[in-house]
Amino acid sequence: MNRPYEESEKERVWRLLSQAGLIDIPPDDFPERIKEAKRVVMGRLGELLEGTTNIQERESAAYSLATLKRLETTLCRSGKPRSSD
Amino acid sequence: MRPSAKQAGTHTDWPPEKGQIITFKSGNALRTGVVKEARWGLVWLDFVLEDGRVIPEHKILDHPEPPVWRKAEEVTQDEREAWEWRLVSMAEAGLDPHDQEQSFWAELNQYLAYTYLRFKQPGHQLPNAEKNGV
Repeated sequence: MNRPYEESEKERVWRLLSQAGLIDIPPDDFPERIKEAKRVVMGRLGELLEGTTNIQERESAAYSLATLKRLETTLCRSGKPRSSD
Repeated sequence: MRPSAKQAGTHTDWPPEKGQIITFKSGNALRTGVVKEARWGLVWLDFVLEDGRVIPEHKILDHPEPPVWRKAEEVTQDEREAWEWRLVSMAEAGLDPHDQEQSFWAELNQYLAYTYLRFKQPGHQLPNAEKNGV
């Protein structure tokens, strides 16, 4: 069965993730990718806070942001440079 | 390698099943492993090998193009929160995401991809996109 929409949607997701460098993250790039993810979530959270609807999505965004911050803090605290690998 | 293991190859027998041998890209090398189980992550399908390594579908040779992705809206709140809790627990337990192809690396990678897809708004481009030449 020909399902052109589904194919193009898969390709779009692949392109988005490739562009963002999120398909296969080199371990040394995690701190930067976490920062970028935080920027995306904060941007969306800012938009959500301007409205009065989407309370559930607002809570999800806030929760995700908190998770990213915890991950960033923990990995930063325990991080060891591995550039010689 | 077990003599009973069968090599996974063509799309017709995709995805590889338990006990099949897969060949996958690992850095600049090709490696093989025996599939223990396939499991859906937040975005893509991961294959857990018998030695514990976790290989995303798109790193396996001869995977279908483009790979099948989950839509962000298919992930339930419970599933996402369980994933987040697990990630934070692994980080706080001192697991190192430099251990590529291990669970922490695999789950953190999927979480960042999922978070990006879920919250990114059209027209917002990350600085990294330019760096990656697109």
